[in-house]
Amino acid sequence: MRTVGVGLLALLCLFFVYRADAGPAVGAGPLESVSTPRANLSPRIANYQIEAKLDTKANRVSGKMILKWRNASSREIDEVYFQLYANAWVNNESSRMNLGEPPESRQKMTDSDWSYIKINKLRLVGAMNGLNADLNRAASFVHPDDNNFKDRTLLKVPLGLVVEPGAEVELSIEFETQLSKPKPMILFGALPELYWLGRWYPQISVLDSSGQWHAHQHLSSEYFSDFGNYDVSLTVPSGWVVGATGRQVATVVNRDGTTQHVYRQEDVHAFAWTTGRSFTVHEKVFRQPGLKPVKMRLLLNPDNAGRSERFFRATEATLKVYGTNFGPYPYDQLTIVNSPSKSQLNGVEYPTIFTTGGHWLASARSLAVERPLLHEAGHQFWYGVVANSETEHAWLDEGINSYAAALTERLEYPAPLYTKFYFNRSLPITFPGVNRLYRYSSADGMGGAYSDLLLDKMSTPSFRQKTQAYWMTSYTKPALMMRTLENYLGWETLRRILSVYYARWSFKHPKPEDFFSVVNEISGQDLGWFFDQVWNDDVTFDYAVEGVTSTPVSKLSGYTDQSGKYRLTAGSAKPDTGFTSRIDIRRWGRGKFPIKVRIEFEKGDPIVQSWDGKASQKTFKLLSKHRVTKVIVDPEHVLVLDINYTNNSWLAEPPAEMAAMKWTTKWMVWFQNMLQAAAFFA
Amino acid sequence: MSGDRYLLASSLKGGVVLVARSIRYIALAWLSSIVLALVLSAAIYDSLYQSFGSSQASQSMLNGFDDTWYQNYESQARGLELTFTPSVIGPGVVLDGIDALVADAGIKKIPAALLVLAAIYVLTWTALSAGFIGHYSSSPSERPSFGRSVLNNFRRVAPLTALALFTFWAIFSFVDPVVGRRVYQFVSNQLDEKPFLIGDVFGVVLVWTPILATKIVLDCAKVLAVVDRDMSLIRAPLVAARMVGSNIGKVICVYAILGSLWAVLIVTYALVAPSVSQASIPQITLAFLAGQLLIVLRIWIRCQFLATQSVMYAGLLKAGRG
Repeated sequence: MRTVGVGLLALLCLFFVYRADAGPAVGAGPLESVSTPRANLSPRIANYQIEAKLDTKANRVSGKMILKWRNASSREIDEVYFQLYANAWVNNESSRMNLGEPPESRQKMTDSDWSYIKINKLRLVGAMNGLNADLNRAASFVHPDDNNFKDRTLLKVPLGLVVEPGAEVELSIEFETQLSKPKPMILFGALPELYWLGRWYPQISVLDSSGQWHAHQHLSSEYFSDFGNYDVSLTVPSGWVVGATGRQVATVVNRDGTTQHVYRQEDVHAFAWTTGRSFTVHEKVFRQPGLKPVKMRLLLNPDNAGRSERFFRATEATLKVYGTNFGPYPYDQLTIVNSPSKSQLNGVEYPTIFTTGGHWLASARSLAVERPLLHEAGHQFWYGVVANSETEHAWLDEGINSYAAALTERLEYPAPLYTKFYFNRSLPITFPGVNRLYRYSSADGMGGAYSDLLLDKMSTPSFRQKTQAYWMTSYTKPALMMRTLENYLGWETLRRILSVYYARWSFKHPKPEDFFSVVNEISGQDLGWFFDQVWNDDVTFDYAVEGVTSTPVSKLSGYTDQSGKYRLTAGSAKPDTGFTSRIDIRRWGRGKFPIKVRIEFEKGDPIVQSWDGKASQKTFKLLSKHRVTKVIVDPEHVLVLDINYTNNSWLAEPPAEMAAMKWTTKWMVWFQNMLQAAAFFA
Repeated sequence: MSGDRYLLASSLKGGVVLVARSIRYIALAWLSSIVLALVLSAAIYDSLYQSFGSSQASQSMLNGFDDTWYQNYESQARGLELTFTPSVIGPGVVLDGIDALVADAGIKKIPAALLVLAAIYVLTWTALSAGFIGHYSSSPSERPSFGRSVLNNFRRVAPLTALALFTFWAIFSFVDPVVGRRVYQFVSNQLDEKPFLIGDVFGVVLVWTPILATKIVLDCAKVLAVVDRDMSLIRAPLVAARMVGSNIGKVICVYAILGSLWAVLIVTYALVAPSVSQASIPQITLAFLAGQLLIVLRIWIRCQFLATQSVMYAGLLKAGRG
């Protein structure tokens, strides 16, 4: 009986070994533990106590806050910096308003397009020196990134004292934030009876351990802030639903028709909230063996009220796939906010809360609801917990998360159908039979890759990149890089890399070098050659079959050595059987990557040749019994960064004419219908 | 049956009979569509053929749809090639054209080559309309040949088509952006998606009401200009406006009946349109023929419009009820 049991166990092990080789599987191996139990998950450097009141008539928030900030560096500090993001739209002279082509400053703005954040009082308080000094007068706006002295998004505050390493200061701040219509990068947005508040309070910049401030103006990139505890009281009209970072710990109904909602959360690096009159609230608990339960709270717009299960299922898929493969979600709750689909509030991540659109009419096979949700939910891990600077290295969270969200989609959902949104994106129509590949990233695969890949390098600081380059270098390219790594190293190795990286850098601020270091360590390889090309250069990869010839071996003719005598043997020798084949492979791109070449014959087993991929050309010469019928460079499609996979293959008898005919006839019918629509005007 | 109902019924019936007798001219219209489409289809064929080359994508695209190939193709596509998208199949066949007309994004993104051929097709249909109206509005005994009808009436119909095009251009250039902005201002503050859709539909109705009104009046003017050769082309739209106004019930009925027929055809095709699975010559041919049947039926319905209008307006003019 015991022998049978051991045998079954061995079989089970073999099954799992097989599964691991077959491709990604949820929870395919042991995870690195995030940390041994400890009191604090994070270093708790910036701790906020905020009391905020929302004035829904003026679209304004007035707040008081106490910030306890600790100098976690090794250097004495005598000044701090505050990010005042809302001032990016204070007037048309801000740096943010003058980015892009054409700059926003040339667009027609209405009164409700402008926003600001104003610090009314800023005092140093607390026991440290018995001080109650007013720091507001000495504070000044600084402009390290573009020298635009009219920009007011970064405030330098001299403290008037020296903060020793490890010492803490306490600042009391009174502020008001004028909210505007929804803004790009989802800072905040005021709609009738709905508010989203992301970067709405003065947020202290990040000081790294060496004493270097990561303080930047708000240009076009996302954010960076330190971990800490938040204790926030939000006063909004009574009857309005509130969703926020953290857990609700108290509710107090005031006599003036307002209600105070108190939220608390430890070990997060930002606090966002939303309030609205028409949200419907749905709740569910995520449960998965090996992971702790998470209370999911879903705020839905009325149109989507009946579709809560799709939102929950996608959130659960993320918590499960990320939790079992990378590391557990460390908080007790997660709030999902269904933002209005055309409001620019869609798709934003904050710790323990995120927004996602709805697409009321989109079919389940389109994944139009699920795909953005998977991405934003995934940010709870890559951004929320592993908190790199989005301002400087956005690709670290956006790229890794795009890959991981695509992985979740691959594991948890059937391939989505192509969906086109008609009539100003109001009517989604799915196309049966047309499966779209969003497998590699959340962006549209390699669409636009030819031009966009050359716009900038991934290593360029994110806040320095232009919008088009930003999307490529922060989302698509790093996601494709991750997928290439998965294919090259194997899923199990990449899973271990990500779980170690997650464990090691949870509640910290990793830099690209930290990620590369984990990759090299876990893979046991120095992959510098790969990252130098993909991260620190703008090379493109493009391998191709340049030409294939496969001809019968000719009869032997001319002189042959017969027992030491040369004799003419033309036509007299037996014809040789078989074929000589020449296969020319070309490297068109500058990027170099080791590849395999699969060669198939009319009959018999195919052969696979390896090539280091370094030379610009490689020729394989073969002598075989049968004619070569098919050649594929990189047959497993390991190098998904290859910008043109079409030229990677060669068929002896390609049905190109028939395929072109099939699709041309379809295009022709489509075009005739376009003509018929035009004939309306005749 | 009252006179109005009788006229309406006889116009519709007469239209059906006339169209049934002019199959060869419908074939002519279909042929013109084929010829024009073939011009650009040759370029698309060449582009696809070059892109497939010797690759295994040729096999996968023959068997179905290969998105890896498509993303490569799309990332290098220029000009006309940009029109090759997955929506050239299925419901996209009929919806793309309608979307190009009614949605903002449509017409501005169409490559120049397509616009040139569309302009030629509009011109072709102007000539065909001249022929059809002349053919349909005359009595059997006086009915000229189709060719002669085109020659006789083109100069009468073309200026009215030009006037219609100018009006449409003005509406699209000046009314559409204002309505679009206003509708967006309204809907962008809405939290739900239904008001967006309602807002979009409302915007389309606002823009397309004057377009349809112009179309109806100038279609009537074309019939009048052909039937009454003494009527000046300046006066024709005014008389037509009066005639349409005083017979608005009948006009709406004609448009509603034939418009519904068109809508049923479009929706039916959108639901049953061939997808991507054809991999053999008979299957490809069958899918192509299904598409051509759709084109023929669309042309047939258009001729039905022309015939019914011709019979009705000619009858009203004869009865002095303009």
